[in-house]
Parts: sequence; structure tokens; C-alpha cells
Amino acid sequence: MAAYLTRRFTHSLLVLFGVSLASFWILRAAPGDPVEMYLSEPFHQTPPAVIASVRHELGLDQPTYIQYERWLGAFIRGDMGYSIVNHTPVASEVAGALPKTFLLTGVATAFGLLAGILLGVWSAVRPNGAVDTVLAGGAAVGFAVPQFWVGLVLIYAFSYVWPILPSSGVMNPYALNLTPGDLAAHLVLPAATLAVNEVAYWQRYQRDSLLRELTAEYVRTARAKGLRGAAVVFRHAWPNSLVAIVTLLGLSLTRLITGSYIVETIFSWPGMGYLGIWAVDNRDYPVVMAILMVSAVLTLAGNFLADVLHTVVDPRVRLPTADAT
Amino acid sequence: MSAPRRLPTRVGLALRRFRANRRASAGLIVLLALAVVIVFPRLLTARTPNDVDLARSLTPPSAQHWFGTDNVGRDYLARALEGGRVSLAIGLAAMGISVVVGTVVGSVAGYAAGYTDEIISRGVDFVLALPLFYAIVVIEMLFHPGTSGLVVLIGLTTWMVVARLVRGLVLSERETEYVQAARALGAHGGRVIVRHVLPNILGPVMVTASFNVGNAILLESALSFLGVGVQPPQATWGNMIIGAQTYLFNAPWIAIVPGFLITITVMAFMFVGDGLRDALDVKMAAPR
Repeated sequence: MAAYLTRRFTHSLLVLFGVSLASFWILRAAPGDPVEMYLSEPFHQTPPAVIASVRHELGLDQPTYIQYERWLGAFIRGDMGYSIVNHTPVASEVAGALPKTFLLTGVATAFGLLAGILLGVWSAVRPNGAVDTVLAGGAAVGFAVPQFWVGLVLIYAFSYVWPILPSSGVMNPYALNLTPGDLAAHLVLPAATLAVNEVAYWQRYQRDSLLRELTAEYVRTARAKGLRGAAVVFRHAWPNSLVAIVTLLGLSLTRLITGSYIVETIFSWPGMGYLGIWAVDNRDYPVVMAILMVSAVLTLAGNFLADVLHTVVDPRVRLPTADAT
Repeated sequence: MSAPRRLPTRVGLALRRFRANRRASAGLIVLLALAVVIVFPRLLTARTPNDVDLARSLTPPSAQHWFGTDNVGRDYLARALEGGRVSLAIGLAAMGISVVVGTVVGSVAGYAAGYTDEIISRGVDFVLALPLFYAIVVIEMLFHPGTSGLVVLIGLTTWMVVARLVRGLVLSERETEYVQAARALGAHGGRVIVRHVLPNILGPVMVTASFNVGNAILLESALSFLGVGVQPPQATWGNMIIGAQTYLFNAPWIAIVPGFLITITVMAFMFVGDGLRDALDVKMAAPR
């Protein structure tokens, strides 16, 4: 176990190092000057001396490998630098955005998981029956429909035709404080948009994994011993079918963070996706770097979590030891 | 005595199974119909996709303009057909790249096995750990690589699934007797893979390719919607929706038409992929 964790951790560090190296060079190679974004007045009205001093202050006059060395050193010490545009610490920008993304995608995943499990079980009980056919069609639409389009349709329906829900931001702009009710109201449409895909995803996996269990020998044995259908499904087959679901839950952590760029943009939801698009649009390289790194860390953590969860829920699975790769 | 009836071939059997699958057949018919109208748009409209007519901006769908017009009075049907041509072409081209790269990488890893396989597999893991969607957005926004650049980017971020699949398949094929026989006859690795192994694993690759086209179309539309994909005035189904949010309340068809077309097309590719999987009796989970 310890050997496995060490190897896994080393590998993850190497991946992170690679991500940071590639990202840093790509950002430095990009046309456009971050100094331009740093200054409050137009570039051509600024004296060259000021530009040079700002460039020196930001360390942009150094060769790229020295800039990278500085960035890496600071990052390891937990310092992600300052936003070039806002002049605020990047860490506080990320700390402000991350919980909002987790809230949005967490609610969407939780709802998608619950609805998906329900619908998946419902369609697996009678495979190829009427319910299964209709639900499979629904899932196909859920997979194929573009997320941004769902968002626009929901805005049209619930903010215009039947205006009961707000379509952007996290709170009423005229409210003094953020109240839970206000937040919840603003959460509904973006979360619903994200959930469409999630429901389809979990429904499909729950259906397939339950069907696999229902054709297993132990289910036939249970039926042969005279157990009723519902008891077989819910007491014997369904708990086992959840093994596959729990494993996939770890992988969905990746989607929790990286899956919401589109939705956050449409609904002006100030999370990681919104911040990320804003940052690259404004050439705010320290923020872009931070988002790339945080996304990579969470992706690796999600993959790791998926493996660990798999061993927890399925005692037959053991984490690979150091000698068996 | 009558001539003996010919036994059905493997392809014949697969075709029969595919035709019996109603969803797959419907998907194929939709794709064929779509192909006809986007290649020959004049079958449906005499108008051109980029003719601006400000006097006719945002007219609702009518007999003259089946899909209405957009904010500068361009015929939306003509734009939808033109956009479909571009979106489908991007989807197919990106799929081509992902299949070629994935097949090459996967078959080298699977056939070489051992350390080569270990190194390549770790490399695939590395790419899978990258925040790819954001990386594409960053590269598109900063470097503006154009439409062909977009195709390459989409292709280069979707080959990993193919590579993993092909690696596994080749790894098991290389132990079979026909591969051993070919090697015993002195055929070198490249020849064995291309002439002997790949034809035998074509089925699963085709299934994945079909799903990948749909995913590539969705990815292109999402990027174009963010304004970082194909640039206007060149229409694609994705960038037709860029302006849609502005006109959503007085001209909802601007958002509805392209979104509907994307959904139908992606579904059709999914159904064809499902049908292929069942018809070719490929044992694999849908890669989604």
C-alpha cells in the first residue's frame, strides 16, 4: 500500500511538473503583452521608461527559464503570484471561485446521480420494455444536446416566457447581502443545464451495471429459491451494481471542475470556468497558470480517488503492489 | 438440383444485423439526408449564406425563409446548411486525426509491449490528466490558429481513447497464431500490424470513430460558441449561436435551429455507433 501510494504520488508530481512546464512555455510564446493589461492607460500613451520598469517589476525582462524557475519556486511555497489585471493575489481569486464551481457542479452531480440511478434502475428492471425504450431515447438526447443550447433554452423558458428564475450571477444585484434563498434561485438554471448530461450519464451506467448483475448466477439462484423480483433486484443485484457507479464517481471529480466553462459563461456564474475564460481573454497569465494547475491537481486527485474507491467498495480488487505494474 | 445457396459472409451478416436495428438505420438515413442537403444546398434554397439584407433582419420563419433570418438579414436556412457543411467536415477531419494518431500510438504500444508499452501508456495517462478543454481555449484565444488549427487541436485531444482501445486489442492479437505465423515467415512489425492485425480490429475502431465524430462536433460547437472556434462570417452550427443569447427573447429561432441540428446529428452518429457495435458484435463499453 505504502509503495503504491509513493509510486502514484511520484507519478502525479511528474505529471504536474510536465503540465506546468508546457503551460508556462505556451503562455510565454503567445503573442500579446501582459504589460499592456497591467497598465491602466493605453499602451501608446505610456512612456517607454514606465513600461520597462513595469516589465522589470513583473520579471518579464528575464529569460523564460528564469521566469519559470521563479514561478515554480513561488508555487511550491504556496504563492501563486498576483493577477496582472486586478493586482490581487491569484490565490484569493481562485479561493473565491473554487467553492462556487464546487457548489454548482456538486448540486448538478448530486441531482444527476440520484435521478440517473432512479431512471437507470427503472429501465433495467424490464430491458427493452416501453419504459426502457423511452428512457434510452431520453438519455441519447441528453448525451447529444449541446450544453450551451440547453442553457439558452432554459433561460428562454424560465427567465422570459415564464419569468420565475434569474438567468445570471449568484445574487440579486440590488440585494445587500447574499441570502441562501437568493443563491438557490440563481443556482437552479445553471445546475439544471449541467444536470441534463449528468442524468443521461448515470442513467446509462446504472442501467448497464444493474443489467450485468441481473444476468449473474447468484441472481438466478435467488430467483430459483423463490425470491420475489423486487427483493432480488433491490437486496441482491442493486447493491452490487453500485460498485461500478462508485468507481465512476471519482472520475466525475474531473468533470466537477473542468465541465462548467460553458455553463458558467452563459450564466455569468463566477466560478473557475468563468474566471478561466476571463483570465485568458485578458492575458492574465498568472491566473491562467493557476487554473491549469488546479485543474490538473483535481484531475489527478479524481483518478486516484476512483482507484481507491474501487478497492473500498469491491474487496476483490487490491491496489497494485510495486512489483506488479 | 438447384445451386447451393451461398452462406452469408461476415460483412453480410453484420449488414443484416445493422439494418434490423431501427435506431441505427434511422441514424444512417438522417446522416445520408444531411449529407445530400449540405453538399447540394440549392435543393432547399436559392439563397446564399453570407448575403446581408438589413431590411430583413430577424424575420421569423416563413415560406420565404424557412428558418427565418439572423440579425443582419442573412437567410438562416442557407447559413444552417453552410454551417452544417463546415461542422460536419470539422467533425470528420478531427475524427480522422484522432483515429490515425490513436491507432498508430496504440498499435506500437500493444505490439512492442514491455518498456515501450509502459512509456507510451504513461504518456497517454499524462495527456489524459491535462485540462484539455481549457488548454484548447487558451491556445485558440492566444494563437488564433484558424480552422485547420482547430481541427488539429480537437483531433489531438481526442485520440487517447482510440489509443487505449487499440493498444488493448493489439496486445491480445499479437499472441494469436496468425500473428505468430506471419512473424515466423519473417514479416516485420509494421507489416504485421498493417496487413494482419489492423484489419482484424477494424470493428471496434470504427465504433469509436463514430462516437468521436459526434464528440468532435459537440466540442467544435462549444468552442465556437465561446467565440474561440471558427470565426464569423464563416458559419458553423456552433458560432451561429454566438449572437443567439443577445436575440434570444425576440428571435429564439436563432438559438433553436443550430442547437436542434447539432443534437440530431450527434444522436445520429451515436446511434450508428451503437448499431455498428451490435452488428459487428464488438464487446466494448460505449466510450463516453
